[in-house]
Amino acid sequence: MRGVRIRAKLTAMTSVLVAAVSLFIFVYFPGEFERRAMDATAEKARTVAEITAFASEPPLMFGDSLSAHDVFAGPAVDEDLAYIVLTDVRGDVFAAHRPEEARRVGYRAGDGVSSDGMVYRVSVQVERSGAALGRLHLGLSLRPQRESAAAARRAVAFVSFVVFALGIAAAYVLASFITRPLADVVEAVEGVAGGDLSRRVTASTRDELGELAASFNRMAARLEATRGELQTANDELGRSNTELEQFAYIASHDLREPLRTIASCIQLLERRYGDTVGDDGKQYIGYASDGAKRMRSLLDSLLEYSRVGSRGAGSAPTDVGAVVVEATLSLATVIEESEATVSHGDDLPTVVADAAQLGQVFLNLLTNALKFRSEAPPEIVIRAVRRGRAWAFSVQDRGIGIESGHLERVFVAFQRLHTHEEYPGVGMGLAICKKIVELHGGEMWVESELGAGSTFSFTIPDRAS
Amino acid sequence: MPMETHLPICMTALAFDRSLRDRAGDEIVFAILFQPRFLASNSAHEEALRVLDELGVEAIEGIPVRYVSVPVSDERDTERAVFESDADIVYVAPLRAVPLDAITRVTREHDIMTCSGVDAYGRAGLTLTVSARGQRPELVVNYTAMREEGVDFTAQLLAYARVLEFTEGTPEAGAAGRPTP
Repeated sequence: MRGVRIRAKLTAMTSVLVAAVSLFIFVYFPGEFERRAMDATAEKARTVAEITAFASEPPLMFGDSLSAHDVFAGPAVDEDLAYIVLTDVRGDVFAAHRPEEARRVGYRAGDGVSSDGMVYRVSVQVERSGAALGRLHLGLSLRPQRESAAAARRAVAFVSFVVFALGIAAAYVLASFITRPLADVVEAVEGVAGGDLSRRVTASTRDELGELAASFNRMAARLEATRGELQTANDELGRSNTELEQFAYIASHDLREPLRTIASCIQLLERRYGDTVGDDGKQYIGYASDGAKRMRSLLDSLLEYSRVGSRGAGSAPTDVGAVVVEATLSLATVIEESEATVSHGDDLPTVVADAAQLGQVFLNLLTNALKFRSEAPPEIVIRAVRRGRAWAFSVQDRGIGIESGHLERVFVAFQRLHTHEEYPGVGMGLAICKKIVELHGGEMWVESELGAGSTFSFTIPDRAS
Repeated sequence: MPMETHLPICMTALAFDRSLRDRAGDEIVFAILFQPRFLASNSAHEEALRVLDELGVEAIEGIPVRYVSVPVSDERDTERAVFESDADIVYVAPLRAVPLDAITRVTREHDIMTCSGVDAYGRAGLTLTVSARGQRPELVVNYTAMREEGVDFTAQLLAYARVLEFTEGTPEAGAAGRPTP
């Protein structure tokens, strides 16, 4: 029922109600009509019998059977009359109207009233001043009642059918009338949900639906205005971001050349004048050389980070298993030296993604897992599980872990939790990973326990599904 | 109409008089009015007594019945005899030279019901008579006389009987069964 539309529900419920009413009419009224007809027949039979018995007193008292027939002539006009039998105190027939019919239906079947379904029989005593003179037996045919009952059944059946048909039609029309404004609202809501914030509902009534339509229109207008403001802000932000990325790209790219000159000069200084500057001079030259190298690393990372945004993500079916194997192979030396183990299942899926960027993500995560290791040889596990309409990948290690307060910081560019001397690097790896994942429409997060290890997870939407 | 036929009918019809108890009280006096010196009248009287004896009707509607014979000779005698008989019902045998007025004056004044087996007496002003319709006896009620004599027959009886709405007159009774024109 939850998936059934309101109009269908209304129509169905009203139809059930109409059907119940029609059934009630069909069942109740013919029976009631028949019962009332039988009651009327019984009343008529009793009345006619009593009147006839009353009028039959003189003929019985005077022993005048011919007069009894005169008395019978009145009720005999009624074509429903089946018979009349007047018996004396001994039970002998004194006078009778249609005696054969009376004998056929058994007029002595019982005193009082009785019926065999064909004839309604009444028997009343004829008496004078408390003294019994005889008995009058009268029968009324029930054929007219049966015929009229059958006609009533047919008429009621027709009426029931008409009520049912008209009721169903009325239920459909009524349901349509009620739900049409609702359907307009639903259509407009779907339009808005689909992004068309200009959709409005025409409020033709002042009832609850009219109020709903008006409220919806106000909401849509506010949404449209807010979206416009957001769009403007977003455009501004995008423009600013683009300019920033361009700046970062240009700055990192253009700064590399003078840095290369500085590094070359430092190397020349060290080569030509290394023996004459003394120990302090050599130390200063070393500082300058290390600073140049670190600055180059920073510029390379910054350039790579900005390239991720400027290049955009490709979209081709990518075998994640192959990507992981390739990333593992590129770190084969480090893995071997650290006696690390990298494992993953055979069920890594194929997703629509930029293979190079996805490889970069796994490479950075594996590098971190190998770098931030504990005393024990690193154990790295790569998994993929279905998560709604996306695949969730995770890289789990048993390294040093991250304090819970720093979990978000690790994804910020140039943010480092350790000194360069403890763990070399520029703090851009996870920022690049997060940017790649978000560029693919996914999200990235980390779960970690200090001293126990970390699990970096990210999702890639399964566009194939 | 033979006495055996019409007198039981008259006796039966008395049960349909709703005013009988009011008029008669605790005893119904059934008087047979006849002329001893008129053979037909005298014979009718004797025959009536015989039939009544055979019928053995001792009560009507629970009221005891006492039968009396009222011999009359002329008009003046008739009026007095009827009055002194203390009758509630007067059965009139065939009379001669006695006007029915002499009877009906008293009966209508004192609420005494009249009946007879002479067909013409009904048309002449007696309340209840029995005539013949073919082979069948027919009860005849003179409605005017009935009201005048304080008789209240039920609708059943009136429906059963032939009702006369008029009185031809109060002729002097002539030959038996023939009212004086």
